[in-house]
Formats: sequence, C-alpha cells, structure tokens
Amino acid sequence: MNLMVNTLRAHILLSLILSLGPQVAWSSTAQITARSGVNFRASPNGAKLGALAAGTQFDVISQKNNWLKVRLSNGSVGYIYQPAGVKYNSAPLPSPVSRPAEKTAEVDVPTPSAAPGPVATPLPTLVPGHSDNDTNQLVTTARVNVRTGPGTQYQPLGLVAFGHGIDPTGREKNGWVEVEVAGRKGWVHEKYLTEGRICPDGTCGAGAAPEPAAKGFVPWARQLTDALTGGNTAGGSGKLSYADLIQSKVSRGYAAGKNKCWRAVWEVLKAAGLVKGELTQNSAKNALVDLQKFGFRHDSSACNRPGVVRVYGSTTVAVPSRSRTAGDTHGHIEILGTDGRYHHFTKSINSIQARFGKDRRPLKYCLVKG
Amino acid sequence: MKLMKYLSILTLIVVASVSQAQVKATDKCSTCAPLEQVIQKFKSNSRDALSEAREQLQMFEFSPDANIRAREVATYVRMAAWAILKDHEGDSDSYFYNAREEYPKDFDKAISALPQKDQLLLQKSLKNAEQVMKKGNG
Repeated sequence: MNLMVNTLRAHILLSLILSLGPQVAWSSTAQITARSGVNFRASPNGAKLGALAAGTQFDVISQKNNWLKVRLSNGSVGYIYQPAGVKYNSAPLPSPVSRPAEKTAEVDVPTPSAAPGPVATPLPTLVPGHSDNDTNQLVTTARVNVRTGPGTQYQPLGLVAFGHGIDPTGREKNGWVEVEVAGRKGWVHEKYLTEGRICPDGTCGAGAAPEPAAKGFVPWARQLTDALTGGNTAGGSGKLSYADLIQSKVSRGYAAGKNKCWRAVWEVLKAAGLVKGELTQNSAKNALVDLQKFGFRHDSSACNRPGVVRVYGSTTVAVPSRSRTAGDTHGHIEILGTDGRYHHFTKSINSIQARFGKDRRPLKYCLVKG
Repeated sequence: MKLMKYLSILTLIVVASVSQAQVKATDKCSTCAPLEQVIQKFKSNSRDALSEAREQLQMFEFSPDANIRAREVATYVRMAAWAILKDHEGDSDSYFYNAREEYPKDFDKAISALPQKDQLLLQKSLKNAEQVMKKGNG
C-alpha cells in the first residue's frame, strides 16, 4: 500500500515538474548588455548568423552548457554564448500560450548583407523635396543605409553619404530612427546619426553665429544626389581652413600607437604646425587645456566639419570591470579628416561612437582653431 | 633474482605509463574549447577571429577549481597573444590587463610557459596597458 502511495506521489511530482518545465523556459526574456555586441549563431559555436547589439531583447527558449537558444522578434532562432553579457529582464513575459507573437530585436550593423528576414516592398522612385518646417535635423556620421524598416532585415532604399543632414520624422524603434530622405521615409540606425548641422561652404564655421540645425546649408537637390549615389562630399566642402594641412599629416598619428589617441592627435597637430612643444594633459578628455593655449576653442556647430578635433569624455555608463578600456577612464580624441575618415590612434576609420555608442563615449568638445 | 629485477622494472614502467595516461586524461579542458576555436580562427585568418576573441577576453569565466583554471588561463593567454597581435585598436590589451588582475599568479605562470616572442608581446602589452590605465591616454 505504502509503495503504491509513494509511486503515486512520485508520479504527481514528476507531472508537475514536466508541466512547469517548458513554461519556465518560455517565460524568460533577456537582453544583451555587452557593449560590443554578441554573436548570434546557428548552433553552439556554429556558423555566425549575425550580431546582436546591446539592448537587443529576445526570448530564451532553453539553455545548455553556457549556450542560450533564443528567439528574436523576427522569429529567427539561434544561439548566443550565455556569459557574453546577457541580462534577464525582471518582468517575466506571459507563458507561451498568451505570449505576444513578436518582441523587438535589432542587429547593430546596418549593411545590405545582413541576416535574411522579411523584406519590405520596394518604395517608388525617390522624389526630391524638403520641408521648410524641419528644425531638428540629424547628420550622418558614416556612409549609411536607409532601410524600409527598423532593422537590417529590411531592404535598403539607398545610401546616404557621410555628413549629410536628414530629417527625423519623430518615430524611433529599438535604436532605429525613421527619417525622411528626398521625400521618402526610411530607417537609419541611431549609431550613425548625430545632432548637428552641415556647413558645406564654410559659412557656419568658427566664429559664425549659431544658426538653426542644417536647414538650408546644403542644397537639397545635392543631398538627394548624394543620397542616391552614396557620394561623399565631406572632403570637398565645409572643411576648416587648415583641414587639408591636417589631412596631409594624419599618418603621423598612427605612429603614436594604440591606446595613445591623445598623443597621436597631438603629433598630427604638431606636424601641421597648429601646436608646439609637448602635451601636458594625460587624458584625452582634458585635451582642451593644452589645445586652447594654441587658440583652439569649442564650437558645437563644427562637430562634422573636416579638420575638427573631437574630444570625448569618460564613460557615463557602468562598464563591467573586464570590459573596461582605457577610453572609459581617459576619454578619447579624434580628428575628422577631409577624406571623411576619423583619425585617432589606429587604422580604424570610423568615429569612436560607432564602436562604443554615445553614452560610452560622450562627445564633449568639437575644437576648432581661430 | 634476475627475474625479480626484471619484474620490478617492468612494474615501474607500467605504473609510470599508467600515471602518464591519467595526467593526459585529466588534461582535457572542456571549457577551453571556445578559446581554442578562436585560436584556430586566428590561425586560419578568419575575419571573425578578432571580434570573437574580444568577446571571450571580456566574458570568459574562469573556473573556481585551481586545476581547471590553470588550463583555462593557459589557453586564454595563448588566445590573448593572438588577439593583442591583431588588435590595432588596443581593446584586447585592456581586456587582457583586466583579466590578469583577477588571477595574476595564474596568468604570470601561463605567460612564462609561452614561446619567448609571445611572452615579450604580452609583457609589453601589460606594461603599456598599466601605464595607460593609471597614468593616462597620452
């Protein structure tokens, strides 16, 4: 009799565990916290399908040996390495039965070769146009795709060149900003946008009175041309008077070595004859102290002008100890060249914010001389 | 008497080979596999190698078991040598420096077991990272 009761108890317990099992697995959501993004793979240690940016949310299906089987908002199922900066959300999702069909997710590199997914119907041919009511224009910090939807799984409409103003519509989703380019709406990842304005003819440079963001500085027709052709006019216009001189010396900076951005930039400026002697500040974030002795000053309107020296402060977000880099403490500094590239301490050609994000590397000063 | 001598020698040989086999068996480090894979990717000039190495350098969790950890650290430093060599932006130097801070003795022992060229690379990296972290980015 006792044996029967015990068997029955064990059976009930087992049934309970089995019925709870899948629910526990389905009801957890998580998000990426690693700043550098996390690989999304077809199987544990298998083929790489793409990368998930910080903040990406997903459903956890199961876990095995440090690998999480996850489902993205577009339905893609794959694996991520569990210790790779994953934070579980405190608020659990409903069980699978009542779970919403999709949660949001993003992939951080907006390239045409991104992971496959739903493709939006191509829009008609772009029509030139620009609203005079636009006030909050954004500027592209790289040559970037404009897509039909907020994610790399959506089809690119075309490329917008570096340094061009585009108008936000006000809609944002998971780090993607809806913009209007040449009368058409599309989505650009916020990583490649900054607030500012364009000064292609040098009309709004150092000493010029502040003017509304970008409106009217770039002929819209030319922006349209560049938007469609992917042209890069950064080197030809808007540059500071000494930008070419700096450009001719940028290779000097590389000799200063990695993790020596401030020294690298100083070497370039010195070679260009814009500063003299030795730097006294150890941290890049304090570069203004040395540079203002030679007539440099902050001009927020010049952040995207070739020749500008961009100074970033220390990080404003909590960084896990192992992931902390020198730049988290000492900030960063870079020069925007006439070639549209950002020159700092390596052969990287992108702004430091493209790698670390705007909070990890907050832009502090845009320095111009004169 | 002679036979006894031979037998004892034979026994010694058998015992020695068995214990060696045991050491080899315990040498397997399952947690080292992802690190080894990155090393292989570096060797085959894979484009993903550096980004994966950066990920592992930041995120790899060392075992609390000293024996397992010793093997993990040995593999980790081998991977770090590749990453530091290839990472022109200096992030790997920072991550490696931070990781060594957790288990300096294990790391130093593992570094000293590397080929001379790699030892010099890692020592230089640590020295540079220490200077940059403490004194500044200049």
